[in-house]
Amino acid sequence: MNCVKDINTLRKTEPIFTKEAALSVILEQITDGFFVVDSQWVILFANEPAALIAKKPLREVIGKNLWSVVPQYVDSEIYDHYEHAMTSGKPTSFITYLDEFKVWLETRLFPTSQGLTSYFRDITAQKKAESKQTEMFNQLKLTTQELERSNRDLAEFAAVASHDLKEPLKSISFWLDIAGQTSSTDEVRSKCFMRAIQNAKHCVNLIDGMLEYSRVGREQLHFQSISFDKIIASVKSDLANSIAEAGVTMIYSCSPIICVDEIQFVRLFQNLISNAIKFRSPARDLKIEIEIQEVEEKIEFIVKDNGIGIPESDLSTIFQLFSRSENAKSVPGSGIGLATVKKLVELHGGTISAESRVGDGSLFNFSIPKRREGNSFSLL
Amino acid sequence: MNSKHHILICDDSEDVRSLYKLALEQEHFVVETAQSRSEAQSLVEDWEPDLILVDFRMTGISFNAFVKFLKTNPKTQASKVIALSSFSKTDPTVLNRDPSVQFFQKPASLSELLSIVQNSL
Repeated sequence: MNCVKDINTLRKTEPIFTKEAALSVILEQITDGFFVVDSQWVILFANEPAALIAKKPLREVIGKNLWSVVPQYVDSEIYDHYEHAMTSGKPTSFITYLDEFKVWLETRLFPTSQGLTSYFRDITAQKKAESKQTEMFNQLKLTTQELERSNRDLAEFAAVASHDLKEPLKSISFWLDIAGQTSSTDEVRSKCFMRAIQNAKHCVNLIDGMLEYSRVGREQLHFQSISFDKIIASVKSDLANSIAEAGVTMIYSCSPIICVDEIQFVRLFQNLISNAIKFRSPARDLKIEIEIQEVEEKIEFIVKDNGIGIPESDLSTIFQLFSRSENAKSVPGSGIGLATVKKLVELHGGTISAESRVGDGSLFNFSIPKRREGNSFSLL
Repeated sequence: MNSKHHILICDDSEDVRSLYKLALEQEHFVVETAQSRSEAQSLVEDWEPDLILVDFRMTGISFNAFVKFLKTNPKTQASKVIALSSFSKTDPTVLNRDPSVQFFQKPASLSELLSIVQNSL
């Protein structure tokens, strides 16, 4: 068996591949862009993907000056990178966004003694993935912050609620303790029972207020366009007795269509109006003025009353849970109303502040972002 | 117990004032009440309490300024001062205090109140 073959014969019969030709085939087949320029920026070689950037056929690119082929990049950051690589002789890489193609390119430049070789690839998919990852990370960060805030609120709520509930309970126990003394007269016992009942009622009010406060935010908000008239009509209907009893004059500047959660917004105004009624001045009839205006992308509400007012020292804490103004202590209350108002405003993405002068009245100013569900805000 | 002891209760809660006053009067103490520290200051201009029970957390005159007043005022220089707080004794705001003033959590029963009062007189 003849196993020996003359390789010289083979060499003669097989096609001849030069190193340059093989490299050229490879470079033309790769999907990434590749081109070579000489020291005068004349394109010596380019593959099809590289020619795509110039939006020209490959044959019209070869032999041309690079910057005459892509003049749109002459005054760009891209030009600076190429120029720097060419003059410094140092390899460099950069990432750039080509607005006209809506793609991200990663370019590597390799200077040689004759010129410069450029290799670039489309990293748009990678960039999108990174952007999505960043977005998810930011979302996760926001959720974590929200959870931390929620935990802090809960801890604060538990601490304040337990303290404020404990006080009237301690009083009840104490009053009944005195009533139970053998030395106590019937008159003393009667007084003690009355006081114990008052404190028990206060406890019930506190628990009701706490339940209302904790309910706010648990329900899904349903934003819908509604006229302010309708909100006020609901508030007036719910507070009809106390409004009639106090003889309230309520004025509002306009009735725009606003995009809010109807139930929660009625609750917000109920709290503000009942607060004004509760802390009205005995010296004059209660007047509540509501101003509504559009400020840039927000709707601003100003609710002003001529009640007893809030001391300046209490203004910074007035929206805190169970906070009660010094001059309001003679009026029964739980200190939950304004905290609920603040929570409702925040649920609508807004902020609230208060101004006041003892004896003159109070002004609550809050604004919420203008939502665009159809015609969400229009001054009629 | 000396039934002639005079006690001043200074607290912004009407319920607390009435409660302590009734409880202590049942024990034959002579009791006056004030709803603010400034009212208490006016009251001691012509009245010498043996013991002053004062709510630690009140607006108006600061607690330290009130104690300073009591310690420099001839009518109250010798008075015992007890600060009552709704918060526990470990509350950091309560710990940083004047050493001449005794601190207690607000009593929850008659026996607790009497024990605080009797031990200080």
